[in-house]
Amino acid sequence: MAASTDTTADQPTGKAETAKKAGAPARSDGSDAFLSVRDLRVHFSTDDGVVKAVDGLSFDVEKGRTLGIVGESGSGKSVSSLTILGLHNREKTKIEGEIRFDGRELITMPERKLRDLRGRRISMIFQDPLTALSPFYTVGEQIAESYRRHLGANRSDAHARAIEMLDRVGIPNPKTRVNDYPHHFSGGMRQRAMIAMSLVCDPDLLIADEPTTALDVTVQAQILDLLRDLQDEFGTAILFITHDLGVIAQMAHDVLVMYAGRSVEKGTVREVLKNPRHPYTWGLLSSMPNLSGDVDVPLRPVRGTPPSLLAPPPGCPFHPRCDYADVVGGERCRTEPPLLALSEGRGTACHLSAEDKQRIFIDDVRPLLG
Amino acid sequence: MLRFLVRRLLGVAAILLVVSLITFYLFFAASGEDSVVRLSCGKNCTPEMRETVRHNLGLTKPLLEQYWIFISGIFAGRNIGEKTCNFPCLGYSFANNQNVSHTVADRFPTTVSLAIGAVVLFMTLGIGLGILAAMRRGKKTDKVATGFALLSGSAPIYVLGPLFIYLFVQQLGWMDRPQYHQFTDDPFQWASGLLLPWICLMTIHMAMYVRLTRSTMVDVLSEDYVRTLKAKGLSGRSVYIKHAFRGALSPIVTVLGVDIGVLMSGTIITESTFSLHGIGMLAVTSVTDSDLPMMMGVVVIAASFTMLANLVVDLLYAVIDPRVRLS
Amino acid sequence: MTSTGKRRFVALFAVGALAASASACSSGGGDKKDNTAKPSAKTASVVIGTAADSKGPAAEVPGAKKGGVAGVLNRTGFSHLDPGRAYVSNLMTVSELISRRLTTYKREGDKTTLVGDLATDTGTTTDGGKTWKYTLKDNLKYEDGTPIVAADVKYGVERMFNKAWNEGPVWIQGWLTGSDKYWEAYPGPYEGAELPNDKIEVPDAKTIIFHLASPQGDFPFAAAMGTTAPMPKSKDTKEQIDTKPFASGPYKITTHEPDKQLILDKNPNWDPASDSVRHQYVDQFKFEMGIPGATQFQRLTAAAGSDAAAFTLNERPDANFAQQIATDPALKNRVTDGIGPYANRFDINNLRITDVNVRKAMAIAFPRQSARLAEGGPTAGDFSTTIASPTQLGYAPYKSLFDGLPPDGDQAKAKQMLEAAGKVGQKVVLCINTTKVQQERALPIMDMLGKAGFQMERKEISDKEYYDVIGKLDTPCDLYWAGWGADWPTGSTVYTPVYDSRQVLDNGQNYAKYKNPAVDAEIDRILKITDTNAQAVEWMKLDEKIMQDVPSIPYIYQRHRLVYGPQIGGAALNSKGAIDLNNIFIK
Repeated sequence: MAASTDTTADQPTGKAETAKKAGAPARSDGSDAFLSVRDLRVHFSTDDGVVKAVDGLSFDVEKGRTLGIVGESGSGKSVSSLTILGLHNREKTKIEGEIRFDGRELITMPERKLRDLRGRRISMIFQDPLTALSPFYTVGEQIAESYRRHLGANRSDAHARAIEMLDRVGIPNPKTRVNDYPHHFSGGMRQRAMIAMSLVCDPDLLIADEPTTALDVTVQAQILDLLRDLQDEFGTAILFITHDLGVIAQMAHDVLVMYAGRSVEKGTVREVLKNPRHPYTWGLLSSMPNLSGDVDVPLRPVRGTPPSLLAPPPGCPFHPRCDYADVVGGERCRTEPPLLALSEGRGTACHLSAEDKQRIFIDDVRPLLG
Repeated sequence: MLRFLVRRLLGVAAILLVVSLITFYLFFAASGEDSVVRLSCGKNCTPEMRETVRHNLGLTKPLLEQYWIFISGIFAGRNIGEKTCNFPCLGYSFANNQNVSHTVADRFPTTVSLAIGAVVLFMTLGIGLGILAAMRRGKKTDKVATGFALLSGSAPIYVLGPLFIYLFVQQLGWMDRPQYHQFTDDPFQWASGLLLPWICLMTIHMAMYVRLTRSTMVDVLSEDYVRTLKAKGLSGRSVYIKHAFRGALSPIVTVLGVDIGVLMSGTIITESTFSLHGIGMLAVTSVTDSDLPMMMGVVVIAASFTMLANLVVDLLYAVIDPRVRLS
Repeated sequence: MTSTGKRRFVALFAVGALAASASACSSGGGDKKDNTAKPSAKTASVVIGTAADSKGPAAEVPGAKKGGVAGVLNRTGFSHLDPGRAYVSNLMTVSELISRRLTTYKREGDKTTLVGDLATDTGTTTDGGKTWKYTLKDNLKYEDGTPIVAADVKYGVERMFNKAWNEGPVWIQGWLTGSDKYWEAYPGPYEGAELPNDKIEVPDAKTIIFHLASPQGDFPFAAAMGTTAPMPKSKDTKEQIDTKPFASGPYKITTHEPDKQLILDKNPNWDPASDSVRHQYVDQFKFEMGIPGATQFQRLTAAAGSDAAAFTLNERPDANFAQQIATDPALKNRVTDGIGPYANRFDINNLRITDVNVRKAMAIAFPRQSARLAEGGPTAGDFSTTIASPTQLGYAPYKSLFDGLPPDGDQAKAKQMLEAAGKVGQKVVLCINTTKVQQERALPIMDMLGKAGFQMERKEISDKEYYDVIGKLDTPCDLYWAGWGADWPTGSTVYTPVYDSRQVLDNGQNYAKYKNPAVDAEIDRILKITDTNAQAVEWMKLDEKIMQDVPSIPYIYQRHRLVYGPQIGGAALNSKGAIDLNNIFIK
């Protein structure tokens, strides 16, 4: 099974092997997920050395479902999403692995074909809607641009479509607002416009990269509601990237926790949030305020700082920040990278035994979560 | 937008008034009556002519009244001694026995033609090469374009001008010596007569636009919204031209405004180098000929066009960048 | 004797010369071959012509062809083209082509002859020069075809009584009224009155008689100046005439844009049979103004395109270009060579340096050769020994203190003289303006005079104030350059203003501040001689007499090497030191 090599960073993966995989008519693991990422490695060469931004990542997204990818900044979540669309700097980046979308391999797909996919079948919304929208064109023009590009609509049809989309994402008075510039819009409205723009061609996959981070909490909730409603309506698959487990709880069906370019835990949203098994997930959860719980419970952020991706720590990349590295016998955490053991979509990359995980979670972690 | 325009126009008028008042003061009050007369009377001036000039200039009146006469004369015309000076009267040149506005109007087309051709050429080529360099940044095209820009931009006109004349006119005989023909007489002659100075000005000014276009476009290309555009599936060309270049236009227009102001107010060195009789050359001869009224006229005209260029740039900003359009 | 006009002329010339120096951009070195180079400029002496000489048409120039456009390059604009107001060499040259006058100069090879222009001869007098009578030729017409009549000549002279226009020559105005302030006697026609018949009489359409206040043997020369150009009253546009005169010569002005260009086209109403000096070979003269000297040389050397049929009006070469002429034989063939009316000298302040032996020592120590290198060596001119220019009527060199002296002076001998006079360490303030030529010329002068035992100091004066400062009675200067161009080639317009003690005043033209009552008496005596040729001999004797007192150090007779394009034919120097426009044709 290819899945068994998912997190074996040390195992050499040559180009020839990637090519062979890419050229293979059918997947070796038989997965037929809508979006399927396997053993993705994204390495940037910089003046200081090679940055392993993504180092052996695998996940699937099914139609009509939402996968939340969560992790600290620099954990490789945004890079992975950009790589799916081929928006990384191609000259300085080395990509290995597979990204299959609806049965087509994206990594080896030529830029021209990829372009036809972007915005049409896979679209993306970004964190800061102000900087992500061009200040020089009206909101309507920017929405229509995408529509005209992919569906060959004429100017007036595209304009009508833009109004329709603005209406759909809940912008009042869309007939006049369509001619406004982004700087005339409030933050929440801009993100609505952004969503309208990304959905204008009725895409199959929406990648949302921290779409609510720049917004205040009430607006954030509205946007999440909107996305959920639209997903129900269009059946779009969503790849939702955030650092906020609270947002994940509201949005995602499945969760993938990333740390230092690798996935450390994955499962359904219920499994991961209610019964987390990785010390890093524990840290994330216990550093989150819980409004329904005891206000006296102190917040406990993960100690230390994220590791350098230029020279990640040997063994488990999380071990310098892990409170339980010593619970595992010997020097395993410091020398041997843990594998993501998968069982029925649920997995954890940690050397702790299942018993220890269960014990520590119940004794140490759950009380903090309230 | 209209209010914006009106407000800016009023501002321009106010600044022009201040500029002309200061100039008027410096020229007609600061140096004393005798030197004003001497400097207005032309090169070969007899004491008797000085008396005529002194009488005609009306220097005995209070300065502000003289200034008022000058300013109102521009719009209403006036009589200077026994000479009639119709609208727009900028004064009377005693050295040339001509109305200043007549001479200025005669020289202005040369300067404008010089500026227009040069601007068209250096904008097209400068921006074109700049875009090319930005699109191919780090590659050979980029290095050639920026290297060429660095080289050409570092040669001053008084070096490049004679060199080009020597090369293209005297050695190769490809072109005629620069000469001004009226556009209305023969557009082809007009263009061919000014081609050499245009190319010279282009070579010199282009560098700035190559560098500016390239660097601002590279800046814009790293903006978040460019990533959005790519995520929308737009082709490279429409990302570069429709969006990234649009973002780079503002700084280009800023520099262009300064350049046009300089070109319009007459580039003394350029016109001298090519022996073209425009406003710049007029400025030089009015100084050497002791023609103070002409100098005054040239300053007013030069200031007006510099201001006008700035105004146009400000208006262009609003066209280019909707964020500037104030409600 | 009036002198207002002379004052103007020297001032104008000075401005021109200084500007020429300013535009020079040589390193001033010059080649060492200069030391042995023999002076080669030709001299043209003037004679007074007869009625036969005055008869048109002018002799054809060998090889001359009709047609074509001649380009003329000029550094400055033409500030005065009103014939009565043009008083600098380039202006007078252009004016003479457009506006005919009573007399004019005919130049044939080395020979210059004063001939009748509008008049049938150079004028006749029956009372020793007090009354001058002129008869106009037949078939004289203006550019519009109307005939030129004697009354127009009278009106032309009357106009020039207008006080404001006295930047032009004022000889005739002064001689008619016998007063420096001629405008007080008659204010000009714009006040309504005519000049009475006892001054200028016009008995018929072809005769004009001048009644002078005192005899003036030089009247025929004065009549060659634009003062006597005809002007029909109905065409008098006053100041506008200055930019666009009403033509009577072979060319008329079709376009004049001041400081920019002047276009002269053929005047079809000009009758060649009536004119003994002018031709109408080219179809058009196209003057380009505002072309710096260096650019003119460069363009005319390259002679690309229309420049092949162009020439400089009167721009003398700078040191760089002089070098180029010396080394390029092809170029040498299209450069004029001749001496103009200008004799340049260094004046000594005779009020401050009163010992004649000290002045003599200064002259002997003076490094004329090194000084001349700064302006291009021999091309600038030959060393002079007289006050008179070789173009002056009756010019004859005499034995001078420069005979047998090395070209760079004899500093040892000068030192001996200074020791003998007991004046070693005599302070000499050399005054120079800020132009490059004067700056560079100062170096060897300071050096060599210092070697001879003078204590040298230098003082800089701005270009514009130069003549004001050296013209002051209490000027702090002891030694300074000065140029003089005579209005016409006789001594009358040289010695009177420049060495007459009555001109030693603030802003007088006796810059040397030389006072010798015997010389004053001689000037008065010679001026009374009405036989011009006899007078000329006396002027030369006076020249020698003045030079015994060494009031000035003669420097060079200014040489005019003017370049013209290979297609230009008939190019030669006129009496003003410019290229003669009368004979120009396109090959």
